[in-house]
Amino acid sequence: MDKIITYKLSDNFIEKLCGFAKENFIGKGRDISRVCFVFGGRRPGLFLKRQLGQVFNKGFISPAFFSIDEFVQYILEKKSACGKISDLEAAFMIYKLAQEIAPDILKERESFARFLPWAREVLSFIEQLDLENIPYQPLKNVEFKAAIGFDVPENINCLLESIIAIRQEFHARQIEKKLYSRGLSYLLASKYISEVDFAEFDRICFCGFFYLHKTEKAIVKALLDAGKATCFFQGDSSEWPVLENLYKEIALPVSLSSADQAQHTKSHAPKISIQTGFDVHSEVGLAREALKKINNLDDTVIVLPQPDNLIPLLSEVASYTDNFNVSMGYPLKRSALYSLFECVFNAQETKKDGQYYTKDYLKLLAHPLVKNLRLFGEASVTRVLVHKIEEVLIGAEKTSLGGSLFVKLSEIEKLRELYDLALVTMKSMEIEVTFDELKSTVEKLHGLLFGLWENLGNFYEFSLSLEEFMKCLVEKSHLAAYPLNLKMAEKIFEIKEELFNSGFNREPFSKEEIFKIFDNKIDAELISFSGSPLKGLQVLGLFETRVLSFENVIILDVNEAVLPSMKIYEPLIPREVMIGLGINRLEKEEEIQRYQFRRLISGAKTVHLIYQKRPDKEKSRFIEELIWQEQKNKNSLEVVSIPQASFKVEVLPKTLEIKKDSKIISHLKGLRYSASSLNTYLACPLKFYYHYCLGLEEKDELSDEPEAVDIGNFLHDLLEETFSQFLNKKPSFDKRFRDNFFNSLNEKFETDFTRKMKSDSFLIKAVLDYRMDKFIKNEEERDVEELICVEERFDAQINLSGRDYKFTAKVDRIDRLSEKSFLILDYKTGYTREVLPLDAEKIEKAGFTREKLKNTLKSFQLPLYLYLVSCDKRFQEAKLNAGLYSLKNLTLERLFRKEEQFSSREKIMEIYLKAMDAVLSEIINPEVCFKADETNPRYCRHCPFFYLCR
Amino acid sequence: MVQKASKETLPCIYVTEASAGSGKTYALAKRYIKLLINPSLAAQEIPLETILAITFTNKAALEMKERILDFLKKIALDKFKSLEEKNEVIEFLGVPEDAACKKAFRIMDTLLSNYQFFQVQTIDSFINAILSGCAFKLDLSAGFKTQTEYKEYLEYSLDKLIDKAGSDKDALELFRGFLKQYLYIENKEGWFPKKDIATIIAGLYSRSNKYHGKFIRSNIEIKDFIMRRNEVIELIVRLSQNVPEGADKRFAGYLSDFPNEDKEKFDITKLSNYFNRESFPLNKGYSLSEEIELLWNRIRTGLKQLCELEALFKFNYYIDIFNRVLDDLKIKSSKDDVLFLEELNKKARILFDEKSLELPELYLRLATRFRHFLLDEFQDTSLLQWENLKTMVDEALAGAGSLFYVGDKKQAIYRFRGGEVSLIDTVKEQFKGYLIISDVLQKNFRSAGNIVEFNNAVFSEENLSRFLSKEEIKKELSESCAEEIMRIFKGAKQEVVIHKSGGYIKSEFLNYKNEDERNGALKEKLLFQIQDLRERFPAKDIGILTRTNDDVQLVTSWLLEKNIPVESEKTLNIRENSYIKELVSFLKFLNSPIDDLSFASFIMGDIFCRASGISQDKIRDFIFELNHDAEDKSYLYRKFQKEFPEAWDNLFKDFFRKAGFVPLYEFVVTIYGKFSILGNFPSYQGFFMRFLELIKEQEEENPGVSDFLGFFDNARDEDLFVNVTSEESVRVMTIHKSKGLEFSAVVIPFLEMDIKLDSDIVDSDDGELKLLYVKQRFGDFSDGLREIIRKEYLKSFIDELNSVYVALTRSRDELYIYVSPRIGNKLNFASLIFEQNDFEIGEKLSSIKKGKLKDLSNFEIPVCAYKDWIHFLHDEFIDETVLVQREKILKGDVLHFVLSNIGNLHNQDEDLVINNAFKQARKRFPHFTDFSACEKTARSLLKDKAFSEYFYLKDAEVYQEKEIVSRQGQTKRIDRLIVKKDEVVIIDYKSAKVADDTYQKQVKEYVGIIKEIYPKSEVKGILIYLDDLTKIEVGV
Repeated sequence: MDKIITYKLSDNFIEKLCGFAKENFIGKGRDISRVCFVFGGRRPGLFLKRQLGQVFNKGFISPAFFSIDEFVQYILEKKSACGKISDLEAAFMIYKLAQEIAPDILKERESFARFLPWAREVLSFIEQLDLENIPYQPLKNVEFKAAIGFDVPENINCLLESIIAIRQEFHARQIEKKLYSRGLSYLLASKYISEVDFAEFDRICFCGFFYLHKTEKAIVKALLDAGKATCFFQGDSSEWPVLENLYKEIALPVSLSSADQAQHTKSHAPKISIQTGFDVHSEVGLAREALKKINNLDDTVIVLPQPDNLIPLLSEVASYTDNFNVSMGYPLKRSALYSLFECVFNAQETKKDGQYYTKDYLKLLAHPLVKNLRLFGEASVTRVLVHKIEEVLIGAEKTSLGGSLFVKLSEIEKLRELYDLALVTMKSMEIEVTFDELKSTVEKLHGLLFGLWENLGNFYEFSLSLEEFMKCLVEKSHLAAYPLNLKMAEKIFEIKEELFNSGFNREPFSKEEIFKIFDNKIDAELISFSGSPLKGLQVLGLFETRVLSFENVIILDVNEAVLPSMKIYEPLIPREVMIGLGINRLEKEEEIQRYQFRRLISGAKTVHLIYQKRPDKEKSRFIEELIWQEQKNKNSLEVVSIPQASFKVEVLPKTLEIKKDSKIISHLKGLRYSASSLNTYLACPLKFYYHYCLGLEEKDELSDEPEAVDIGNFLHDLLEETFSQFLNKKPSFDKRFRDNFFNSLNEKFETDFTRKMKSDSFLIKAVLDYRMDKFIKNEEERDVEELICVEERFDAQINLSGRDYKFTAKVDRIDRLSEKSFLILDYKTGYTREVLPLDAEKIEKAGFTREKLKNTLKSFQLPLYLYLVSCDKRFQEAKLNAGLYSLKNLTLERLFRKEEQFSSREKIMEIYLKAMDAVLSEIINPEVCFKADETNPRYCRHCPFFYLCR
Repeated sequence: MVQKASKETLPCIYVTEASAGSGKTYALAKRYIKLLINPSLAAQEIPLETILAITFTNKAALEMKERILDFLKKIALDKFKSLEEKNEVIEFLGVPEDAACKKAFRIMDTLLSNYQFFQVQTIDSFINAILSGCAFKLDLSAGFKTQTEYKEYLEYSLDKLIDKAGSDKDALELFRGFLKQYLYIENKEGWFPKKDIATIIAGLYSRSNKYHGKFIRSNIEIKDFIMRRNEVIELIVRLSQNVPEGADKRFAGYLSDFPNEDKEKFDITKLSNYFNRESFPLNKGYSLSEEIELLWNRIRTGLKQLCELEALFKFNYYIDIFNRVLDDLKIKSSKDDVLFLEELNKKARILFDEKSLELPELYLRLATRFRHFLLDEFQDTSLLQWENLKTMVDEALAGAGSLFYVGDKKQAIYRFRGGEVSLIDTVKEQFKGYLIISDVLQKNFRSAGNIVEFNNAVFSEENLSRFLSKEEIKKELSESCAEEIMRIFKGAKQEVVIHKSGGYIKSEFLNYKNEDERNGALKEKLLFQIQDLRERFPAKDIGILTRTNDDVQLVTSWLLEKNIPVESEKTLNIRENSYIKELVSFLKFLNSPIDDLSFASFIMGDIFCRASGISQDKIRDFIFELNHDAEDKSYLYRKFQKEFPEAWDNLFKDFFRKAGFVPLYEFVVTIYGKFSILGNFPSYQGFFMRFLELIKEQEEENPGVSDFLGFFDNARDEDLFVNVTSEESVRVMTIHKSKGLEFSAVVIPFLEMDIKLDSDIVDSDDGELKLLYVKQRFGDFSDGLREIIRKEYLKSFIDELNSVYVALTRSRDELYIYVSPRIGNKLNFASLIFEQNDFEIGEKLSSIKKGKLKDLSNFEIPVCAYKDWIHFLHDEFIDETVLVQREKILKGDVLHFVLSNIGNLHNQDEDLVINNAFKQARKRFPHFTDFSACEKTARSLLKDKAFSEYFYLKDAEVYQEKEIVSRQGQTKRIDRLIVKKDEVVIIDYKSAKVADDTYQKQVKEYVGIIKEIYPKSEVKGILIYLDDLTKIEVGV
């Protein structure tokens, strides 16, 4: 039997291998179960078994199948029982060793959490040294001159020396514990191989390997030398330096018949089409369309070099077929469980002085896995409670906790109103529950979400909390609403076990570090889809296709940096130094991926290569190479056309117009109008419709930054409260008043802002103090005779064009300035000029359309106030004016700016009323639809109805 | 020594000036190839890894790579467009044709297998590579993230500092001082000082990253300023009390009002212009007393000092706050292992300066060593970027390397990003010891003759001196400034290459009283123009260029009103798309069911109405009626549920139940499927797909519904654009975005030069950054500040003139310009740039240049009918009981494993075998604790006579964990297989009788397969239950 057999690159390896088994074993009546097949991974075994099933045409005892990792483990276990070290455990071992041996490495990254990424780098370096069996001696001092002509700087030599010392000790500790890293397993197996026998196998077949580490080579060579093994390779060694090198090192003749060799160059050429998308979805869309043209899905593979794109691909593929296998990982991060942990940790991290940051507290409570917990009877009990807590905290229900930015758990637990509110709702839902039961549910919830995580000091405690938490979720939440959540939960339990049993579980860690390490851990976790039993279309990663052949091949993401995907920079030990040590990953990686790519397409009949064309993405060199090959063959530059994918895009947006029916018209006719409603219409008729016809309002949100409107309300309330004492009097601003005024300001500030803001309230307070001080001084100088009104409502009907409209206005204040002169004041915290009407003549001249009035009249506030107040009999004989009083800069902008305007007051008012009439006539005009005013995109962007407006 | 040379001598610096459309990329590609083909190298030597080419954008890098490959292929396969081109190239390369051809083949092969060394990239990606290689030195982790968004970090750190003011005295003092300045000196009118601080420190952060160094506060304190201010006020008051006879009447009036003004609001910029005068304004025939003259001089000196003090101290507190915020930001970003794109260059500088990274180590880490540098768009390179490259360039030149840079001072429009046009000259100066070869690319390969000639005329020395000598401009720019501008445009004249007599330009002057009127007229003209152009050009080849994004929005809305398809930032933004708005509303509702507005928003939309068959009117009526029902306080969705139960059950229920459990991506895909969104609205496919893509892109950062919605609300517009390749829409974009592009017809609706002066000017000096606060008015009092203002004004003027140049040079065939005399209240300098503003040159293209409308290389992907697909993977799911009974299952697994290590015990040391089996199990299950219970079970099983026939066998083969394969290729693993002469026994262990039927079925399956393998034997299947040690025999 040949020791080495080589197939052509375009051969179907599995078929050939099966042919070999048939010819040498099955056909000769030899027991196939005594043959052992070793592949790079597990998947080829499934394909070979299927093939063998066809040969036997009945059941059979399986030969032994190993992945190379399993085979190495098998060798080790022949020697003695041993296990695998977990990555975290290994990283911690490295961390401890670094502390002992090379504390310099830990500079600026002293904690385990900070060092972890570098521990992984150290591990990966040691792993490479072990796999390639690099002895200690040449490592001692890399007297190496890189091809580029520089000596290795001393600091890199030092780093290297430290790592060598760590490696030595790392090996010793693993051997002591009999828990091995992958690198050490290979290293030890390559040493033990000559000592173990494989009497259980008649033959060991190493199948489809390409690049072999030095340790792997040692294993293979030992078994070849012992006459126990046969190796199966694929491809012409003259084309692939890796193979050539391998043959040389194994030092055995290679059997590739000359007929085969001759054929090799003539082998059939697959039909290759190349297409580009501009993003993931256009790419997977192309893949879906390519599939539609394929008859035989059972002999089709979609290769996905970028696992991130799996879900978009499946979403597309599933619209076409349900017969597919996926053999890739699904990131744990995508699960609701992951986001729940994020919320839990976040709540702990933003906690301050024993109080939780309300936003994060609510976010955790509102997490679907939490709010649907069946803590007491039905999940609806928790749900109602969570909604009520939210309403209480955002201030939608008035309680002492409304708007609190930070909150203590006990404050919520003790809040009577919360349970009362919840009980009312539950009664309406016919849920029977008592006050105490509700309270205990809240306490349980708090315990689970917060209490469990508050005082963690090590991974032992953490894993206990994790266990309790997960148990509760499994038993009481709706995890199964998404089937993959359960797989994720299973994985979390595994991680919990690993942490619980880790060698470092009692080492002290800060809570934040624990969260970070755990986060780090689940960040990288994948839930693997096994992709068995084999059926239909195969969706595989590039390396899962090793050894397999398909008639139809679709490869996605054929972009540079993805295919080939290479780590160009070695952040720890520079690549050139690695090369000096005999580790040249980069070149090998390139060749390995090029080989897999070429092998896969050589064996296919049709090939679709799809890549993304974007400024930041470049087509793969593999495609460039194919194109160049074709150009050379045809001696022409125009040989390949690469269609670009596109989606339909209609760039003409539609505009919404709401027609007014009779119900709306009658509503509009009966509406009580205010300056704000008219101004809203001026600004945007559609906004008016949403707000004043449909009654829609924005949902209250908890905000840690007060808005201008909050300042406005605050000052209006303060001034109403403090100035009402002057009602019907001449105001006086003596020391007593000032003291009281500022006391009120302080108290009110405390209740209105301090609790609802982060610590920056003092900044706003300073501004308020300063401005109010100036305001009082200004008031002193204003010489007001009497305060007539403070916050008073004026309602009246106005007849416009023969129709009566109802109006209302809430006036901040009316001052009597002299015998008959009155000034209506409206406090403004924003800019006043923007809302002050232009001169009446200008308004008239521009015309009375909404669009014009929006820019000339600007706001109906002062005209409407003036008119409504003048209707009140107290002011019928008075000389009335109205003004906007800026609390920002204390300017007072009057409606009648000049004395002479009083004489033409009636004419001016007529113009205002005409404007009002024009706007109202338009509002009730059934012919004029409600339509958005989009002239100011920035205004639209901040409109509460932005998403509704279209 | 600057000379014109044609032969390669190294070291050497090549400086190429390339006006618009003059084949800059071609020149760069040619240079790159020359370096590879270099005849002085051995045939095998291809120094790919020694060349670094830097471009301004990723797009340019890809284009250049493509150009280089094309070029090489042309040489290799001899596929030049013309003999002329071939001769030109071969001559340039300086090698015989066949040698060039052979080498080109070799280069292609090397390049394709060493593609990572094909280093044509942006400066940011190059610097990122340096930092990735040196992460260990930078105290970052190996896998640090580079991210664009830093505002949140700044805000967080600012919040933290403010929070600290509660306990930390220094911090409190800092804010107290700040507040004093904010209120008393700056007279700021906002209510929220934090917002102002945040805005300013964001600006400081961005500036600190453009320069190398730290902001240093000046040593001037508030009290100094206040003291001086009060002195000046006092002097002016004194003047107002001693107004001399014959004083200018208006000024006297001003002075008499002065004492009544609020002194705290004293603002130099609002001071009367009379103070600008050297001497007190007197009417003719009067003279000034010495005392008043002295007083006047003291006031003027005081004002000068006041301006200079304000300029220096204004940012002190902001700088103090910023520096502390920055310290915290560094800690936080390093903790999160994040590097901001903005700070890449600065970090690299730190690496060289503070972390003392030497070139040998850098090159070792980059695994290469550069000898030749090619730099594109050099006029937009920043000082910091250049400094980072300079160390390498220095070293390369010292070792016979080369530097090649291409730039165009006229196209420098990225000063706001740190672009430093003066580098074009500075670098020549820095390397003056080397051979410097300068070249000007004079041919225009883009535009038709008339357009080239038109631009030649506009930017000619003659026209520019006419323009710059206009009174309005002379007022602002000194003679030396004008000279500087002339120098920039010195090489603007280009040679016509294509269509000598072709090309059409039309300019119209829009002299209207106000903006409204102008826009009204312009809108009409523009629409007419576009209609006309659409008849002659493919729409996508018509570009409308504006100065600002607001103008893009405005022009877009005009075109859309007339149903003209437009591609612009407005129409392509998914956030502006009505269906996406509906979807977002739906997600908002599902995220928070008490959000009535979002629910209303969704049910009133097309998506819901089309899927449910309920009319929009009906929904509006429903909501309208509710508005009148004050009684019912329940949430809108509950009312909807009652009113439309069927629609709720069909379309909402499932989503309502699953929201948050299912990853957002799958969730939205299911929504697409359930509401047949793509089927119902296929023309908007691009928007829906971009939305999905965005969800996908955000999975890492914003995985949940609420996170994603938060992101979406605040996302940058550029993340929200749809990709289009439509032939049928007109392009509207800013001039800045149009750089590097060209169109057949270009329309410039607002040709403007709006010169704005930044009020904060950075003065960078050897690692120290000073920030000056400057107002134009300050220049009236301080000569020093006037000089600074003048320089800034000049820079801004040049920016604007350059942007006019860029705009006028984008068109191939036709150019339409509209000029207004004013921008708001200011004069529009662009209205002075042409001698006349109403003119027409050349003739419009008469023949239609539409070409084929449908691009064959474009493949429109049909819409996808999404399905809820997750159950297709049911083979991968696990049962809930697996989790609930985890511990039991583990115990069963351990027992299985132990039994799998126990073979035939006949004639064996039973104890030894069992002990060994447990030893193995302890290794396999190191964390399992209950081995004693397992051992008890195992031993009982082995002792039990009922089972001894399976463990103690005289003449039989016993296999554990034996794999058998069915004829279909499916593998089954049998726990224990006993093969006797005429009988085969299959044993399957089970922990408990949970699913007896399934177990029996399974064993029957085994029996079937084994019968095929041992057709002559009798086959028995036995199920052994380990919990109660019972067995069941399973027949076929």
